[in-house]
This record gives sequence, structure tokens and C-alpha cells, in this order.
Amino acid sequence: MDTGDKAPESVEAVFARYGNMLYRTAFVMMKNQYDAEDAVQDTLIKYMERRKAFEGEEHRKAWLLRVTINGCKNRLRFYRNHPDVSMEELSSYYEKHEDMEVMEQLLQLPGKYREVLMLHYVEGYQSSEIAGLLKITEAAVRKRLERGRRQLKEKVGGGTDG
Amino acid sequence: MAEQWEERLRNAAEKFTLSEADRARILAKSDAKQKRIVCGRRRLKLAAAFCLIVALTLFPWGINPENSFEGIYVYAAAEDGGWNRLEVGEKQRLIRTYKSGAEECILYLELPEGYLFEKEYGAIGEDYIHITRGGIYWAHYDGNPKLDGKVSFRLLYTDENGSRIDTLELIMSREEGECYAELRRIQ
Repeated sequence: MDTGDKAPESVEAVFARYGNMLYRTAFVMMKNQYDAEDAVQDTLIKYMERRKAFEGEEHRKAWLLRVTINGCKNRLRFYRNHPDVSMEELSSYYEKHEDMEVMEQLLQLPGKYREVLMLHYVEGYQSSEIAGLLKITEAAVRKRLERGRRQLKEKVGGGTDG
Repeated sequence: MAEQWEERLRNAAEKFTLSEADRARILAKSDAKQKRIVCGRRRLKLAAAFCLIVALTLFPWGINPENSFEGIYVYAAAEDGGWNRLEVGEKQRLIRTYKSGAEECILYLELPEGYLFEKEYGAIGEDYIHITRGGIYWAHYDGNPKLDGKVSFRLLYTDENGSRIDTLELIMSREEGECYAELRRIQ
């Protein structure tokens, strides 16, 4: 039975804590601000409607990420509303060109690589945790990470190879 | 030690942040949309109840098994938001939607009196299927083609004495991670 989180936390508090994480994940998946915001909105609605308690904070965070990623995938499949972010818009986020360059290259990778690279390198999840989040095998996660990493490094240069 | 590009990737991703105004707007929109959804659901339930009452009032013979012999309907959700009726001998790909923590392959069943199904539950890989008189619930957890497979549900039509008159087979399959439904008549 799910009893770890007796008092449900308000959507405002959850959004204050995880809003940026959900937004940047959705942005990288959807490749534009507007669809990313819509995906985050849908996640918040699902959170409001969820009746079951979470087992703990990590469970809540992982659930939010998973719902956002699945929401983005559905949007990409059925009802994507806006075009990809333009280079001009993207440059408005960055002061340094090299920061923008790595994001520009990441956004050009296939979605399945973008999502694992974000979850691993930005959100700090391990392969086994990503496998649970995306409902794929750990071997598949490792393979996607390896291929995504290789493609990104080829494009932006990798520093030391570890 | 983290490689240089990893650090750059982290820094680049962390630039995507929401301003206070963005946050307030997203929260307000979510709240309004959720209220509309709740309202819509209530209206839908009322409309469905009204239609049922009207149908039963106007067509009381509809619940007679003799008249319902051809009355089995399986509908697959269409991409335009409508429903495609699955004919006997036909196979259709099902669209999926995200619902309550899992993806769901959308399928709807109308099963008149006189029909029975042999089993209620089925599984394909990690997918879970539950069939009831009111519908079919297919939770789709993984698009991995290695977990492809199929499961079939037999729908039996019996007469008043319980003798079998007709058998239909509803086959649910996963191919390359996609959901399909097929309706067959078994002679």
C-alpha cells in the first residue's frame, strides 16, 4: 500500500520545486517554449487529478518527469502546435555562444537520445533509474546514452575522453 | 571528473527557466483547464445517462438477445477523435493516449445480452488488458518491440438454453510496439 506521503502537497509547492526541471525537459523534447509550457500544464493537471499518494519525494519527482516526457511524446505524435525554436530565439537564452552551440546540437539529435542525455547529464539519473522512468530496459538506456553521447561529442568536441 | 561537454550541456539546459510571470500564467491555465475538464466530465456523464434512458424507452426490444445477435460492436479510436467500427475480419491499429500514469490503447466494446467472454484478463509483455461488458482497458507500458505478442478473447453468443450459436474472437496484438485489434468469426 502507498502510505509514504500522507499529506498531499499543493500543486503550487510542487511547481515551485520542480517547475524548471519539467520545463527544461519539455523544452528539449518539444524544441519550443509554447509546446513545452503546454506539456508542463498537462502534467500539473494530472498531478491535481492524481488520487494516490506518492511513496516519497523521489517517487513524486520521477512521476512528474515521466508524465511530462510521455505527454511530450504524445504531443509530438499527435498534436504538436508550434515550430522548432529558431536560432534567434535560442540565442536569447545564452550569453556565451559555446553554451548555445551544445544546446543547438542536442536539439538536433533524435528524441530518444535527447531524453536520456537530459535525464542522465542534467537531472543526474542513473541508467537503472532512467530505465524505470522510461519503461525500457537498462541495456537500451545504456545504448542510447552511448550513441547520443558519441553523436553529441562528435558535433561539439568532447574535452578529455573518459 | 566531468568532461567539458557534459558541463556545457548542464549549463546550457539550466538556462531554460521559468520567470515568475510564466509560472503564474502556467498555474492559472492549468487550474482553469482542470476545472473545464471536471465540468466536461459531469456533462458527458449526464448526456450518457440521458441517451441510455431515451434508448431504453424508445427501443426496449434492443435488450432482447434475439435482436442483438449482430449487435456486437468494437470501436477503435480514430486519429481525428472519432471512432472506427471494427468489422469482422478487419484489423485496425489503435491510437494511444496518456492516462493516469500509463499509456492506454483506446478501444471500446458494446456487448449485448447473450454474449459471454471466456476470460477477463490478458497480458502482452508488460501490457495489461482487462475486458468488461462496458469496455476494454489496455494499459500500454512499453514500446519495446521485443515485448510484442498477442492475446485473444473469445466472445460467445448463447441462446436461452445456454447453447453456443456464434463465436467471435477479438485478437489484441502488439507489433513493433504498436497496438492492434482484430475481430474474427470462428465457425
